[in-house]
Amino acid sequence: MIDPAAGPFLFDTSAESWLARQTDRNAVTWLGRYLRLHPVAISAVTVTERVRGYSTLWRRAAPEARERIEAARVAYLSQLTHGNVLPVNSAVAVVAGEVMALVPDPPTPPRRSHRLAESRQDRLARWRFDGMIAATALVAGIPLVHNNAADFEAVRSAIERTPERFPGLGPLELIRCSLLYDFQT
Amino acid sequence: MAEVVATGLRSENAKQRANQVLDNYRKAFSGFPEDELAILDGVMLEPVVTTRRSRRGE
Repeated sequence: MIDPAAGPFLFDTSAESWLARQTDRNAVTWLGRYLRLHPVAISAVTVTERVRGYSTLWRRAAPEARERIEAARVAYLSQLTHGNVLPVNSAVAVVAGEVMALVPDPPTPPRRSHRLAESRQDRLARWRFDGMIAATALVAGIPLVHNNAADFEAVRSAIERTPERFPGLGPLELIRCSLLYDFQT
Repeated sequence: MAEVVATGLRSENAKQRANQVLDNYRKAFSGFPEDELAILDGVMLEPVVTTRRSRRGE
């Protein structure tokens, strides 16, 4: 288990929603303890991905389902008011550019789910976003909680191989979200 | 005495803030099936277009 007092942590987009959806009592307790000490820090990129997601679902939804989606979007946005969104500033932009040049292609293929699939174009865009999120954690000097080991480990090892491109920064510290707390048995 | 009260108030405020965020998170992500949650995570899933040829593996 990771001590909540060891935060703050930057949460990747899927790690944030994964943790928020856990019903395991240990997970809820962990998040409650963490929130009393720190905000759930996220990148501005995560806000972009999330709002794009809500908006996409809203546009695809039947009229009677739209109110529920909008209520979820408002609930999400209303907890962004505690100073927990880290900006993509000039330092993050520079570091993200270095990351994207080091690892230009996503290490994992586009996501598939039953009869749905992610296009190669969207996969590449998401990979670019992941690079910006990793750069945000690196510049802030805080660990990145993620739910995507293959992708972020590739970024971490690339940064370790070329420390001269990241003076004064790193290493990128990664925490798998499933290791944050002890699962109930 | 005042310090004890201030510490207690800070702790109570932190608890209320934490509960508010937890409540908002529950509302933000509950009731969505896996495919829709993937979209909320930035994974844009689109229906796969299959043709007779691709289904046969030709």
